[in-house]
Amino acid sequence: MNSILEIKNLHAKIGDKEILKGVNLKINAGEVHAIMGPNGTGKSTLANVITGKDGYEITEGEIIFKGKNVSLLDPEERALEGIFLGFQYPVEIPGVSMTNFMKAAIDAKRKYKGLDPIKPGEFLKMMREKQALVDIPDKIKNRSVNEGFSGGEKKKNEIFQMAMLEPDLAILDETDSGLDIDALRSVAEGVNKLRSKDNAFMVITHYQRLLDYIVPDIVHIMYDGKIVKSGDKNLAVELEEKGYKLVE
Amino acid sequence: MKLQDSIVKYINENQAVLNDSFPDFIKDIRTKSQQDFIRKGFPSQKNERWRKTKLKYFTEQYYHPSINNIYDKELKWEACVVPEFDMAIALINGHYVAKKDLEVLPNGIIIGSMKSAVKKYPDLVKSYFNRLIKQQNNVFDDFNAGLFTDGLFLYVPKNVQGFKLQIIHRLDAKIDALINVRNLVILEENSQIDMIQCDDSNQHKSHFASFNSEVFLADKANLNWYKYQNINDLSAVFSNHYYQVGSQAHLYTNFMELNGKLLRNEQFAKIVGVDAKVDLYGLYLADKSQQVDNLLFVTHEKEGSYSNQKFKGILDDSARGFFNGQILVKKDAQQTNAFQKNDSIILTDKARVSSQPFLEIYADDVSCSHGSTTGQIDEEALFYIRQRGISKRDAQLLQLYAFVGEVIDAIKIPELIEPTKDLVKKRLNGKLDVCEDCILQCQTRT
Repeated sequence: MNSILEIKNLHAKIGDKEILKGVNLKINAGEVHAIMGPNGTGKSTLANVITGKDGYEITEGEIIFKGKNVSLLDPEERALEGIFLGFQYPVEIPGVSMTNFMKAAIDAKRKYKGLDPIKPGEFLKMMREKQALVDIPDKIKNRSVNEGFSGGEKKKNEIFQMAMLEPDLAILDETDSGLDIDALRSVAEGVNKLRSKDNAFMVITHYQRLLDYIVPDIVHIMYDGKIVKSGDKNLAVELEEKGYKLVE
Repeated sequence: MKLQDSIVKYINENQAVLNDSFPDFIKDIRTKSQQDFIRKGFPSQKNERWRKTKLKYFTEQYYHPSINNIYDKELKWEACVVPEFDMAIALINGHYVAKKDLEVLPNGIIIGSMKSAVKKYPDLVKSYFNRLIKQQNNVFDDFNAGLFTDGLFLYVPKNVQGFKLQIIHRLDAKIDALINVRNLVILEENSQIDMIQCDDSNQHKSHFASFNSEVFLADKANLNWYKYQNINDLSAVFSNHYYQVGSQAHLYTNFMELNGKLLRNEQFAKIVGVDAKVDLYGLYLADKSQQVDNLLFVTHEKEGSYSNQKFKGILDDSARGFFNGQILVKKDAQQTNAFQKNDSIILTDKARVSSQPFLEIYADDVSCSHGSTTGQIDEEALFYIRQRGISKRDAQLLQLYAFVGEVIDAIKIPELIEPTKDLVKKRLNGKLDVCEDCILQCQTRT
């Protein structure tokens, strides 16, 4: 099987505080991995370190993405290589319309591949198709990115962007938080439609609820900066029943 | 001070050249202004309104007074003309350049050089000239009145509407030069015009320029004034604008302050009628060691008027910005709505902006507000944008462009919007140091 992501003995810190204390993780094409664990164990840090956010220092280990060490690349380079992060708290960008934002992102990706900017007609068609996929209202495309969006709309917008950019690896950081059951279902449906044998997902969540809709191949439990237990989807059910004393 | 001394010497030695070609009423004002200037000198930073502005870079140099034509007569300023506009005139190093020096258009508009207008229409000029400026005590007004070479005279008769004029202020001396321009614009009742002004430089010489304008809006008159300032990194332009706004009149200005070593715009709007409207928009972009100042003063004298000041700016490198916005609501100005907002982004630790709001309200039934923010690029948003594959530089540009968008969106002439967007994008991208011709043609260049 094709390896998408391989994390080897990853240690990372913010300032003097070590958050990741030796994470090992291997995700192959076609797989959905769930990362679960209590607050403050480093789940979001792991997502941020994989995507290259400023402020984190990798002190040991490496991140191999599609066979290439991406540990030192800029966030945009990792994104262009095919890593996507669905944000836990999508950022509002006043004055930048969704259409312009997506056009800039698509064109950046095309440029990286040596292609010309997308033609306007083709772009609008693509927008329409992907909007339908995640059931997001047409009006959002003229609005500023995430500005005035409801919690549900923001999360759907993350999935919409993922659909537009077609990453090889999508990391969804607590995409289920703050969603009502209908929004949760439509977000999950969007993800399921985008699953393929060539891409992979890393779903960070606190609750087994999301995993009823996005069924994972492997579930990992993270605790104190490490992955301490891995198993199939039943691990999430067990965790839901017993709580984190399972790993303490 | 080298500059000060050389100007004093110049004034004393050239009384005849400076004053004799003007009718007595202007000659008197000039002589008095020259004396006042000699007495006061250029302001120091001890002066509250000049506290944040260093003039030393300029006042230690010598500038050649441009009382004689020192521009290249072959200069093709007509390349600057925006085709959609009805007419264009130029002021090249303070000298009026147009097809005719003074003319009356079929619709009754009188347009021409100040110098010609004071001779041909002395009574008309006399009833307006210096009426607004003399009320202030601004040394740059003395400097300007005492030394101006020429300027635009524009008279728009009652009910004439829809005239679109482009004014090109060119700083194009082949030696370091003093440039002084004096404009007078009179809009009679229920008239309407659009003016677009380009302050531009071509030669890489230092200029020390003052552009003063007095503008009279009679009742129901309507003026839209767009200004694009893009001068070289060695030059300073001090522009003082004085407006008198009558009942139900509407004054709208939108200034794009794009480049220059020192750009200073002072606007004084006095609303003397009821139910008038004043909109003052501005955008300032400065980098390197540039300085950009905006001082606004709106006075509400009568009831029921509206005013709005909205200025946004971005300061990079070690640039300095100064915003001073004043609103004065007099006792009789009930039901006034007056607003002011100034927002800046500073991109480095060395860039600075100082923002000072002053509200002085003597009426008890008014709605006034002011706000000022100074911030940096939003780092969370920057990461969000970069995570979608957009480069750091482009992510910053996207945010900066979005930040200033509100001022560009306030442009009311559709054909100006795209060129303005283009200019601002280029400037944010650092590509607009000096434009070969008028900046509005920049979109056609690479």
